[in-house]
Amino acid sequence: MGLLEDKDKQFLKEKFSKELDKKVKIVFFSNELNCQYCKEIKMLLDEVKELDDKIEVTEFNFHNSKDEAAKYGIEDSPAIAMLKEDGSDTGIRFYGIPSGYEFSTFIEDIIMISTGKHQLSDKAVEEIKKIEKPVDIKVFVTPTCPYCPKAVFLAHQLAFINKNITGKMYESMEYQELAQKYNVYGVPKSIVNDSVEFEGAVPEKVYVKHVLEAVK
Amino acid sequence: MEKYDVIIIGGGPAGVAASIYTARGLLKTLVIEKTAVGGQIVLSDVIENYPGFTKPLNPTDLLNDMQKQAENFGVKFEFDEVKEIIKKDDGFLIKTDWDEYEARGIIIAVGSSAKRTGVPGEEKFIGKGVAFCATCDAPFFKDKDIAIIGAGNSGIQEGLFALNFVRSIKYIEFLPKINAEKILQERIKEKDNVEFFLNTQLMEIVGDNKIEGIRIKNRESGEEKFIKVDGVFLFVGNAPNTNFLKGFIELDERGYIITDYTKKTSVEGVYAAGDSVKNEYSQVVIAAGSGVTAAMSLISYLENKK
Repeated sequence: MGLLEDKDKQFLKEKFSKELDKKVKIVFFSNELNCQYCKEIKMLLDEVKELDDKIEVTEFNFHNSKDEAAKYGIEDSPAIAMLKEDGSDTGIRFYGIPSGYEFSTFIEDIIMISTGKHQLSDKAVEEIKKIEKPVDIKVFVTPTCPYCPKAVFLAHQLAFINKNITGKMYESMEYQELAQKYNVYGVPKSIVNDSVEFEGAVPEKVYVKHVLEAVK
Repeated sequence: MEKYDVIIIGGGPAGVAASIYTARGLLKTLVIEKTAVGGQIVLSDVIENYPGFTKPLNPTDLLNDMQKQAENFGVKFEFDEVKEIIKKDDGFLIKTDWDEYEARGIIIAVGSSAKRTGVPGEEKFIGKGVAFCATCDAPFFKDKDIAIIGAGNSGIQEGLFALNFVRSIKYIEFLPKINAEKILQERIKEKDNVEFFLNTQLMEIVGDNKIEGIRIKNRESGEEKFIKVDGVFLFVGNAPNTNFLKGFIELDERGYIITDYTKKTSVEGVYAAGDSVKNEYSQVVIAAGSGVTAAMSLISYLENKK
């Protein structure tokens, strides 16, 4: 049995064929030793790939593909990196399965990368484009958290418009040790450059302000 | 600056339902939402009492569908926080974080947020063991013991979800009885790892770096007691998100918006609906209905004004 229901597949098929423009390349770093949901992630990616031929999926074994992992700065697995048609990196990452509410973020990302259209306001874009230092945004989530996609998609959009920014979703059950290290007991929790942290699905402006604070 | 006929502040069930009606009245309508469409209801894992649906509904799906329905009729959504409303000669100026908008009429549907108890230890443990959303945060308490403060509808509903993860729940209820729908009460009473402390007040959340437990007091006997728990979920009611409206429209002493039966506020051209309004039950179906009342009243107000 698949992970996606037939009616959802049908809906996404129509949505993709209407909206997708350029190809989207999804790179999945799997891990056979220590991965709770790798099988499900692979299944999910395969099912999504089947929905439209503009979606490409490549899988690497994290432990045997150090060069590929280093190329995208992937520190751990399971991890998903999202690339544009020309193979350039968007800085969009999923550490752990993009399922539950995060599946909608994953779909929004595919559409954004394919069409080049984000949903940020002009003012946010103006501020974010000025950033010249590397920015690492970690967003801890659980798949049952309805507010989390808002925070993850904001981080992903910021990464999309500025190549200095990496926006990473961390599924807290897959990455329990990391969640503990960062003292995560409530989600969404966003951590910018390991220095600025905040909780909740905050409005765009507040999110941007926190990110700017971290690069000051 | 963009001009609208109607601006609705808040994208929960009240605001979105209102927008469907104003848009169908061919009024140019904008909904301004602070975070994400849905409002507080999306924190519940299921809705089972919305009439017309035979299967349990996912609140996010319901609200996403409401949004799509509204967009089909031309409603626009902006994600921004309203800071101030200024009355002008012929309408209103609305200032947000990023922008300014003009509207001929306004519907306020800003809802409410989870209230805090104010007990010692609460503030320092928010996000570190004190939580307001079991559907979001219960997975962090897998095989642990938690306390849920407040045995109303939200407390019981979220507790039923949390039981998928936690080892046990201790309910602390200020009132002498459980105040949730009877069907929810029956479901929770079937569980053997749930214990109720009624007529009991939360006194303190105890711990240094992590929560060790809670101190509670029986309101009748005065007896105090320490219970070991790893997490505390708060469902002690709500407070309206109306701070930015102080001085603009009439609020009651707790901050709820005062309206008449047509949902008109103290300011002409401004209507209010949903959980931020005085004397409304916090139910999706009521919020939606209340939004529609406000919309229909505003439509007729704008028509008569022409």
